[in-house]
Amino acid sequence: VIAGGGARPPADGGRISAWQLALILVTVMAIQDSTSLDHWLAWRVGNDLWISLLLAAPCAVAGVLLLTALADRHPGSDLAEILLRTAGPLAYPLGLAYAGLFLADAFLSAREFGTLSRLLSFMNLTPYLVFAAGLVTVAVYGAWLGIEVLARVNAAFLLFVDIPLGVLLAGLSINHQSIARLLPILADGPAPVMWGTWLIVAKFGEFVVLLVFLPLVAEGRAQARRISVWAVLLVTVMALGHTVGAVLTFGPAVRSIEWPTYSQVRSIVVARFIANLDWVAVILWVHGFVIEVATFIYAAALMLAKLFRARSQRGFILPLGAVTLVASRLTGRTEPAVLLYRWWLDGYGFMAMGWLLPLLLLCVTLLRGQGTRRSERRRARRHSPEAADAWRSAARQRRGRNFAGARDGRSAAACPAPGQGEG
Amino acid sequence: VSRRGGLLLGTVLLSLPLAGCWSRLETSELAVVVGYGVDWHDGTYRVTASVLDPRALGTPGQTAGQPDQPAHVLMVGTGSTPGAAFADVDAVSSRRVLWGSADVMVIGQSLAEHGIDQLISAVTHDPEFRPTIRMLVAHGDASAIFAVNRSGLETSTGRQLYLMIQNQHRAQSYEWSPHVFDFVRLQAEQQRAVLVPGLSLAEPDVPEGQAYAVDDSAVLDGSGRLVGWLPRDVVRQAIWIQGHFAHGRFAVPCPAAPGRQGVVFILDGRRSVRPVVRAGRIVRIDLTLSGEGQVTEGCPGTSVQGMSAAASATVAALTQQSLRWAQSRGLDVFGFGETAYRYLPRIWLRAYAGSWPQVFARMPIHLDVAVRITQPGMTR
Repeated sequence: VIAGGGARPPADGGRISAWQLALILVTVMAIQDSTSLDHWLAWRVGNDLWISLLLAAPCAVAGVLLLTALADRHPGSDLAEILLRTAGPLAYPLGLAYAGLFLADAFLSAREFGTLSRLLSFMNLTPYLVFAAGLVTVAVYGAWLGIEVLARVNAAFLLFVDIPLGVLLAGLSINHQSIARLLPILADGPAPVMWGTWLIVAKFGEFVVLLVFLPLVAEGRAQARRISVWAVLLVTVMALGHTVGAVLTFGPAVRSIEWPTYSQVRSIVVARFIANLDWVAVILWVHGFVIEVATFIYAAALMLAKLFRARSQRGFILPLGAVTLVASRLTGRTEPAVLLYRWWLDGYGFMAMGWLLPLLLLCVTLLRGQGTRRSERRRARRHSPEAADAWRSAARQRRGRNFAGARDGRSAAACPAPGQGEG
Repeated sequence: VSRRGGLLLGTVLLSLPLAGCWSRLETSELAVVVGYGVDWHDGTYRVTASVLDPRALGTPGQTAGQPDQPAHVLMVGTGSTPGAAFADVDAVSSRRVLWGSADVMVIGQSLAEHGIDQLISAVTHDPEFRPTIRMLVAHGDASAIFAVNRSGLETSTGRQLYLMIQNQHRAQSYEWSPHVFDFVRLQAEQQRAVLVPGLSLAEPDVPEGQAYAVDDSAVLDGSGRLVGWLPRDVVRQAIWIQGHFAHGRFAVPCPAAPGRQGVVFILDGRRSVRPVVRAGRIVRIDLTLSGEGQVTEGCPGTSVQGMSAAASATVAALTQQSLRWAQSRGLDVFGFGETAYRYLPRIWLRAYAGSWPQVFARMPIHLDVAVRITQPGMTR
């Protein structure tokens, strides 16, 4: 029973640790941080973007606490089940909207990967479809294998490849950087900074996939909440590293540079003879975009499986992969269009469905008194056959004791009420 | 484990075929550009590319070509825009031209006078070009620089120019050549004039190995036009004020022996620029230069303190020359305007954003130089 029962595990039977979930969130955010988000922040906020990042971090932490509070009120339920329990007739449209949002993120990411790859001087003649098809194939394979494999591969790449390479690149960039280029602070007033903060917070709305994956976390919700907060902080630190690094490198010219983090990599010269570290960017892009596309295809497939009461999410993965590939080809044929669609998706889509809708769902949950112990017991009695059997046997016992107590002269009121003690 | 390994392998393999089929570059089919010059005459851009000649390159243990002949060939293209001229070079080449390998870009004087914004736009937009290429401005045509068939100790003119300009900075801080991203950054600063090393052909009577001279610096204004040449005597001080000074030797008059000079090797030169504000206006700029030094050629009868004072006085006199040159032309090559903007943005935007060159020309600059000699040398 979908609507009332506990979460049915995915067909791959995967369970992940809280840390693995957090690292997936970090990868998903960091790859966008270092590509399209950097572009928007550098262009619109300029050298004050570090303030936007610092302001956005506590907002994103509050958002994560909101998401986990909603999950706490619906123990064992994922996003689709929460919608079915709280959104009434709107549950299906909203569930489909979430699946569409995740799919849009996947195909825009595939498009972005193709666009970025063709920037490389040694790959600019390769047709777009080669990049997108390769990426989506690997991503679909990853989603097919399931969350457990995806999480382990992501953790291995992030911890042993991406972060060390990022630190190495930051170290190699220092030679061209100056901390004074962060000045002046707020020369254009607070409006651009607030705009940047809005965009970053909206981007953190991607953390709404937390609600899809939270029931799969082995350690439970409390640990996942703590680790997700750490994920926000880690993303912020990483973003400060490469985004601020671009300002320290390019100063006021950062506004005119299309892909600041990639341009920062292009500006590195090692020992006067290694002047091309583009391959490092390729490694980071390949990993980041594979995980991003795979994660969102997997999340969309899980949502659809729950909404349509399918036995497995796997039946949705291949069609979603095909849609991702075709949609990425049809959408955003120019680089500015890709960036614009990314801004619409992040600035409006994830702000609305990542933060505002979960907030609304939490309000509805609280108003309906869902998630309290009493309502949970009532729900368990209503929907769980095992719990109902246990309750019936306890009631039989109580009746027997009451009968014996009355025979012994004791009051029936002294006996425990249903739902207390052995109930 | 096998599923995880499969995904890992798939992700790694994804990066391999992407570069393999369509955009492959066979080494034997490449024309490796080591440097190029760009000229502009009567609305036409002319690109002269110095392309490495693999036939003239020796393998280890062999003698490479003729010892006094550079191992390069020149390819020339023309067009109505820089991009069209680059494409024209591609059209005449039997090999795929690899622009990204170029180390140095020489800009002809006529192009610099016309303005280099379009050229900078071309080499920063097109991902085939490296933004780390170093810039030089030629006295006269850039093509004439590459036409000289001597490349000193190096295999090609482009390589020689690149190493020469690097060595000028590393050895004596005579020049500092910005790469293209540096130029873009400096040009984006407030009312900034940018210095680019000037390159000329050496006098005919100099030894065979010296084909070129980097003597002065071209001054380009915010729109990328050549507006003057900063003389060699004062270029090093301008570089010090900019914050790019590494180390260099200075001839210092001996205090106790009139007519004689010693030499001080100044290391770790630093600078500090501070605009002084009174009643909401910048009334003065305080400039402090400091550094440590070694005596490499002594002055008889002069103490370490005496050499410190003499070195400080010499640096101060040269710096004053540099400041006078720039102020007399209203060219802020030092970035004082950007410093004022960074620390006093409101005052800057209110009072100086549109009029800084005129204000800079009249701005009192208080100079303080403190060179401290720490090592008196190997003999007394």
